[in-house]
Amino acid sequence: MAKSKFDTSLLGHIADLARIKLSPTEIDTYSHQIEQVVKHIDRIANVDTKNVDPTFQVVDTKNVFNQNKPNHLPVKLATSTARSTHKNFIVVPASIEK
Amino acid sequence: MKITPIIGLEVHVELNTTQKMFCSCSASHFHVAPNTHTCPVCLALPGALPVPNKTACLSCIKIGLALNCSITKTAIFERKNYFYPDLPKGYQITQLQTPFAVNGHIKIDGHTIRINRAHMEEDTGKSQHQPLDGQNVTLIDYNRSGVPLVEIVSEPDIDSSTLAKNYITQIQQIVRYLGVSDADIEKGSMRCEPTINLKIEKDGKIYHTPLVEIKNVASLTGAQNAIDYEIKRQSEEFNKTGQVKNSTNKTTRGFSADKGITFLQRLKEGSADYRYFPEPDIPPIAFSKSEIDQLKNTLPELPDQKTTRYQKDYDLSDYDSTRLCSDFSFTQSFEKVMGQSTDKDFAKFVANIFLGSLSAYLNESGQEIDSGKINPDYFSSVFTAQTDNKISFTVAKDILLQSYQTGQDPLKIAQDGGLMQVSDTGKLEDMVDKVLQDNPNAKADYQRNSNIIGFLVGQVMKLSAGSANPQLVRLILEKKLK
Amino acid sequence: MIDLASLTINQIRFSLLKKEFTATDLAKAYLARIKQIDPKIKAFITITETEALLQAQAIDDKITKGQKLGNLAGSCMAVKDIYLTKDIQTTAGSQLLKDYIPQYSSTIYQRLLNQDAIILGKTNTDTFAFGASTENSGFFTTKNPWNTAMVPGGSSGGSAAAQIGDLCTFALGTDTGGSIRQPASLCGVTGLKPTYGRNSRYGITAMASSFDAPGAFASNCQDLATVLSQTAGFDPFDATSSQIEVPNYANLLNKVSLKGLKIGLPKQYFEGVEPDVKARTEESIKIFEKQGAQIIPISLPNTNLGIDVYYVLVPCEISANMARYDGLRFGQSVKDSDNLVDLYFKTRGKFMEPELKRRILIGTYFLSSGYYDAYYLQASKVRTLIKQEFQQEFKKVDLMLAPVSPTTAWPIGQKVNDPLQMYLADVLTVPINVAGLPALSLPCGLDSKGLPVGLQLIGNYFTEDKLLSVGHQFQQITDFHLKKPKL
Repeated sequence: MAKSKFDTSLLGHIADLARIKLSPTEIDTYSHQIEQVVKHIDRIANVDTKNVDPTFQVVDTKNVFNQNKPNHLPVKLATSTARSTHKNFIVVPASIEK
Repeated sequence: MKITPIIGLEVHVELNTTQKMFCSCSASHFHVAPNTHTCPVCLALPGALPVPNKTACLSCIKIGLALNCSITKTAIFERKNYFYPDLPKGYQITQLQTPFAVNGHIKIDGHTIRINRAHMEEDTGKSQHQPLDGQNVTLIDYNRSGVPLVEIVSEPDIDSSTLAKNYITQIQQIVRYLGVSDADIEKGSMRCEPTINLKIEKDGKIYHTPLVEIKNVASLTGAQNAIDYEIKRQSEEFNKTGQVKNSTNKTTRGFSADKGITFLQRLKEGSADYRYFPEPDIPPIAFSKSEIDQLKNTLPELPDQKTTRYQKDYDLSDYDSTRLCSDFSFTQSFEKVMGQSTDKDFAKFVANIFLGSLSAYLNESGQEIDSGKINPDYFSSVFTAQTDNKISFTVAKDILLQSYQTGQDPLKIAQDGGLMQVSDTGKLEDMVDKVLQDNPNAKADYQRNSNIIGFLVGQVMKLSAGSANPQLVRLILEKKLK
Repeated sequence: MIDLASLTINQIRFSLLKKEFTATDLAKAYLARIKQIDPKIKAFITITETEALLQAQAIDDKITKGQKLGNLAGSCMAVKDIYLTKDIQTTAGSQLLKDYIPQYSSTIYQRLLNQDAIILGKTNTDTFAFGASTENSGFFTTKNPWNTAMVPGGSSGGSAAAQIGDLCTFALGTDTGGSIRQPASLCGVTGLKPTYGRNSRYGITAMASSFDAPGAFASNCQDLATVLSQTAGFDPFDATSSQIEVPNYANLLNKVSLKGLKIGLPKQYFEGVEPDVKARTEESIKIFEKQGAQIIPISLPNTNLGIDVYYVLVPCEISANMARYDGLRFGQSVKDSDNLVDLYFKTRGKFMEPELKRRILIGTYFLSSGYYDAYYLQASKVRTLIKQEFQQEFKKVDLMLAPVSPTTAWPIGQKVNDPLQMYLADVLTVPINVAGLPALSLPCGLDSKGLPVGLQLIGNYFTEDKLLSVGHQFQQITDFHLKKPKL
């Protein structure tokens, strides 16, 4: 798959996906810095990994399940750090459909 | 122009586990005060980590087994990343590459519908949009955040709205039989999203209309209506625009039950980029073959297996068996009455009561059957009384219904109500004479059409409040009408 | 007058029992020193004077009543500010969480409180632990106590600086790509990165979920052993925490014999390293040799790929772990915004530090549609190769020895505008995180500028007892770990 050049328009798209508003200066600076990093890392494509299984977890655990008892946060504590609350609901500005 | 609908169904089943999917909070959220069943994990506070619910995983596998799926040897969870306030982590923990169950099928109305997968995931919090202090806001309740969901995805093997409705009903029954969910569409513990397009054969060529996913289907009828509307709409749309399906024009439409229409919600332009990757906080899950086999053995008899067995063991018709098995509690009550009995006449008798007066009463009063009110002994005794001609079937179904309603011994109800079958020919002759008196043209009518005897028998039954022995009445009438 | 510089965990507990001083005396002594010294090095974001004195009082009450004391009774800890501490501000070194008062505590912190440790404060860190110099903190930069114009290393720079400054008995940190070992090396402290999963991650802001390894700094290996005994062990709230039994590390400090110990020297770790760093490390190797250890040259050719794997997988995991920081349920947020989407963009745009944004953007890119195979999947496969390579060499040796950092501490501000350079400096530490292995950073002398050099002992999975034993014996016959800066 051909890799896109990490230019400002690509950065704009990525910033959208990540929900981060960037200033024009940031877009310029970061796209340059990130391009450097990505260029360096691109050499990972040259490593022969045919027949190699990926490691998603470094230790060999399996089948770990929840044994804990319920311990609900008191509602006042749960909502104590929220931006805005109303009758114990957490309030956010109107959302657009998912 | 030949139109063939191509429908796939995505059904989400909310499990009835005690705890949530990745934390110990109570999974009950219906009519619970907002944000009272939360913890750092399901609120996605900094530093919180998920730990999976074993019962939920086993329930997902049970569903997979009931759908004839293969069970994935080693399954992992994955993160599906998107931003929405009811999804507090900013990602949903779900399964993509390794669903617990894959490649199953169920048979409905002679069709085989293939099941692509049944996988495990977590539900989001609940959002309520409303104005507050002059602003438009959304109120979020995280009680539902993290509740276990099983997603069942069919292949697009469904070709009509009726089949779709029956598919959903079948999934609902299976899940209820397994006891893993109450699968109530109105309550939201079962949700369906049809995806539909049309195969259009026109002038020797084949076209496919663009895919549409329908959201906000809140009932079985809704599902059917939404699909019917879409079929019509897509067909008209195609005639107007000729637009065909491609990889980027799948859309999402919402269904409005009030208006009976679907409306465009969002263009799935290129699809949302969910950036799936394996969930690093949860080690893989691999149940052994013996654990899976054990699970298989604990599966209850499923609706289609039961239906077949009722026909074989009880000689019931396919129609009656299907109707009896359509509801898990109904079937449980029926089997409670039958017990170990293999008497086919008794089975037919009980089936008639269940599917007749009892069903009618429950439907009318909007109730579910209460198996606690079903007394097998009462059914036995009434059946025996009927077989011995002590009561008629008409009386039998009435007193059993009353017995269900009041808890009283049905035979006592019959005795107290004077409903014991009158087989005394003297008394019967008197009643027949009265009816013939009230119907002076009866004899003449009978000569022309012998079927009117049914009406006359009915009149005598009415006169006797159902207690007359209908066979004897008929014989007496036949004699008198000659 | 309590001599804070010479205190160890066991001595403190003993002194309390012998009534040589009270816990309150000790806490007050530390707090006084923090007041005096911290303005010069700025190791702390929050100083928890009230809580410290309350906790100390509770311990003194226990002593008065003759009740049993916890194993860490009286020891005063400095806690990296990414550990959630209930009711005590936790910022993760970021403006995103300024003023955030957590609703719960991290498991490790709680386990230490349960053993009667006392918290002195929350230490400075690169924002959300992303960094190697503590310059990425959203609050201020910590200064290296050996030379306040230099960085202390990172991301646990605040904890390392507090430890060498004798502002605490021990300090908590985390090591995702070297964030305990590197500041330990740059500040001349002893620091342990345990095996991934040895210590619970629950209640610590997640950076890279499959790399993060909570650990500690202390004055010596014995104290590290005591702390690890209390923090390690399965946590039912962390599914990745290990169920392997926790040895009594403190009792095993003399277990390993240096005579005949096979120490592997991976040649790639000695390339591109400053001459003084190399020299100090080699001098220490000679010390081991003199004790009868067998020095075996080994090769880990995939070492350089460690950075590549690290800087693919870590940003990917970061990008998802940071998605919950939207200012809605906790944390700072912009007050005026038209709608929800606007709120997300502006809050994250305004309060996220540059390094947060950079790593999230890189990770989002690598995970975005079409790139998963080329980056995430490929890096995960190379991760396997790196793991396998270590396993191969561990068949030949008991443990490995290498420098921690190619350089000693560098001037504040020098590398800040060159993220790639900053990342490449992690080359000697990240392969260990990629493989999930444990490693112990030991001070081994000073360079010509008087700045500390550290070496790391790398062990196979769950061999912390071995590492600490070897480190302990090294510290019995050397005094590098006793050297302190003049403050």
